[in-house]
Amino acid sequence: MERFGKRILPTAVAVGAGVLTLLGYLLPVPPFTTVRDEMVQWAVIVAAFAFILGFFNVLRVHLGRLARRASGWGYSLVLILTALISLLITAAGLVAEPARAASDWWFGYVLYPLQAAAAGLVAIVLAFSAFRLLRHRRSAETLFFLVAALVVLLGTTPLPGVIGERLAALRQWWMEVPAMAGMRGFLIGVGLGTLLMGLRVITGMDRPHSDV
Amino acid sequence: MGKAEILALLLILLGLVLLALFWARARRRRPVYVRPLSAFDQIPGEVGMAAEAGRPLHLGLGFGGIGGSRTATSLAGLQVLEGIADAAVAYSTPPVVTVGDPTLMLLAQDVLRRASGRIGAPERYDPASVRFVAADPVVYALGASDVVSHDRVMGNVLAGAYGEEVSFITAGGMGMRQMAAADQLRAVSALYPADTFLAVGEELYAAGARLSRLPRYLASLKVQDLLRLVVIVLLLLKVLGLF
Repeated sequence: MERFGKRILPTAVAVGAGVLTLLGYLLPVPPFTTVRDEMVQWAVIVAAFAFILGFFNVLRVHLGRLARRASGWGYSLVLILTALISLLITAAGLVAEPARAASDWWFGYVLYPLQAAAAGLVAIVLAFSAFRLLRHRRSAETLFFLVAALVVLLGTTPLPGVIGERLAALRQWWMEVPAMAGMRGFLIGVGLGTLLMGLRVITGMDRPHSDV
Repeated sequence: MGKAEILALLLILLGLVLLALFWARARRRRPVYVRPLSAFDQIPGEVGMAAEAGRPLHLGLGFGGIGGSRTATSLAGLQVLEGIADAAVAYSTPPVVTVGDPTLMLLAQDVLRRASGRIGAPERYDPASVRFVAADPVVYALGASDVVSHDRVMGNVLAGAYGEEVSFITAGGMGMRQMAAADQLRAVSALYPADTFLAVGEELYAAGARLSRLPRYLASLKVQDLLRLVVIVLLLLKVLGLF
């Protein structure tokens, strides 16, 4: 019974769901597409429940740091308070119309700007990484990498005159010929890896969902 | 069914048949050669060094989850955890795993729980060793960077769905040994400048074969190589106008 519940049943459900969803994409006719759409909806609902568990995981980890007075516990306190405030404001906004404005304000003027600020740091960190690359790994490969990055960067910048036009043309050729060729080969390999991963799960060969 | 769907179906069927054949062959313990991949070959040694130092490794599985477009990538990253879980738990230094999607968090927790059960020490399982950091990729990268910088980890292993924001995590891990595997060009271009052992593109999907050498992973790798040849031949035939 334990074997049935922990291995056979989860595998049967995973294989069945995978095969039905795949059929829905390969044979786009009403019975299969209906089942496929229903399966996708169920997956979204399960994922929503997983987010609730994820929220509790965040609280557990950071309350633990707070309790142990581990390094950076102050940040954990701020995180916990912010998470709870976000939860309350969002829940209030969903339940009571007057609170919707507060919820929109919280997302529009606090959370999204913070995310944008963090995203803005990416370019700086990448530039810093490139500088470190030049210092620590001097090779033909590194030079080629940096020259390619410079060509694309300068070719995208609207520089005036003949130099600007030549760089733009070089950038266009670079993106359309060697970069595109490399990218397509890369994507074919990744696509095949994805296909084999899916086949292993659909056939029950790979069982990340059950006790093996 | 259009031409593209028919071709896709034929490729899937061919993949299924070859997978079954090579899996049967791999289970009969015929040796299967897997070329060295430094990003994964370093990891068992890192697990040992972490055990000696009494400090865990950080394993970042990326912001992908189960059910979205990055499902296969996330499962490939999970193979790295599966490959090191038993040894790491046995040494009482389970990795600190960070994820950006709670669906992957549940699977990662399950891998560690099962590893603890397999070695006969279920009490060593700590659900908090897997941390859901944030759903946004940039915020996830910043949170994982904080773990790498401040949580006394011995080494940094990144395998899963990443974009260019992975540079935050590698910047946080400066000075320690870092291994990374990504299948997105933006992540690869951000990882290349960092001082990491790097597995690129489809090499991510060789993690299971390289780390755990289970028959299904070895068979999958052989089939990938064969299907790549099939695709190349089809492309050449198309270019020559013969298909």
